[in-house]
Amino acid sequence: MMKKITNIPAKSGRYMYAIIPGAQERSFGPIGLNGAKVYTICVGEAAAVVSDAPCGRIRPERRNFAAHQAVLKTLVEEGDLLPMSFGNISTNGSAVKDFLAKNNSSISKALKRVSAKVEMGLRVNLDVPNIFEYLVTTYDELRIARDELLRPNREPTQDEKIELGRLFQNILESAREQHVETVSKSLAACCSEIKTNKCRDEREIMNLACLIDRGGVENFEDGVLKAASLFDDNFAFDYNGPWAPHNFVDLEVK
Amino acid sequence: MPNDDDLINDDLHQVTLCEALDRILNKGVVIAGEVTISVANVDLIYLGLNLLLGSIDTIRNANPEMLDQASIYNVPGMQQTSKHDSNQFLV
Repeated sequence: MMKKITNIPAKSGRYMYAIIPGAQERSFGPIGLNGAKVYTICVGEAAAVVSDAPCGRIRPERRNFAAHQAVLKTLVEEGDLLPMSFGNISTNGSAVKDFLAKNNSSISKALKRVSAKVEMGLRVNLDVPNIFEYLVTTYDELRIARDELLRPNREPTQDEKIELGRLFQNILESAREQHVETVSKSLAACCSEIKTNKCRDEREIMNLACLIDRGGVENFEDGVLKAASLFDDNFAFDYNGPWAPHNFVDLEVK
Repeated sequence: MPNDDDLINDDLHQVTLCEALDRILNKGVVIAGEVTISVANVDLIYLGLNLLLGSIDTIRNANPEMLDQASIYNVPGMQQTSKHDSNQFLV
């Protein structure tokens, strides 16, 4: 690397990875950003997992993501945590202590919610060559509207095209809602909470985050298989995890 | 052009990388007043890539590594810099 090392501010900042329960100061070794030592700063029953870093902004480089992710992985393997999102730097150690002290009650509430739990991701995609063709064949309403629009000897207007597009979107949206309900119901037994996230594209039917018991991964896998059996072969179910409970931390911080 | 990186070579790892980025960028505790990267109602994994690619020109000289990183994703049509707040994320 040819980076100049001049003008880098003193390492008074504390890069924050997560908050974990525990009143004892701990060290996790040099696994942090830029190989920095990762350790905890404790206040009461909560501890912030941090490493020293220059104040300022952390570039979203792959190695920085990887370090952040590696620390979270270490933590999730050994116990509960509230993962911080990437890029949070506190100005110094006492600012971290302030943060922990001020948010004491919401932190312990949030920790309780994810206690002995991990997160799994589940994405369901329509595994068809052409999603538009698939929906047109599946939903009569859409096919009729399409045929009407494209009937011979007439040029569809812009408005008509937009209207058809809207119909497509509405049908896809309500299909999604219905499928999410089916899957959520089927998964309810193996999840303590399920969160619906936004889909990435037309093909994606659902993007769920599921909070499950730490020892319940196999149970979850069985649950996904069971849910998938309610759908035909056009639906592909992909799950991933276990993750730190990123989707189940709605901490109001001060 | 894609870098032969074992982190991203197979599909499984690519999926995992995507999922991991989605989570650590988009979810989790964010301290108000610190570096803000929360983006309302926008799937940040794309926005993040957008920013990454949009900024290639400015960072090319500073850090060639970023180019390789950005080329992982091969997201077409992502050349313009986003006007979104989270631009500060990269500055």
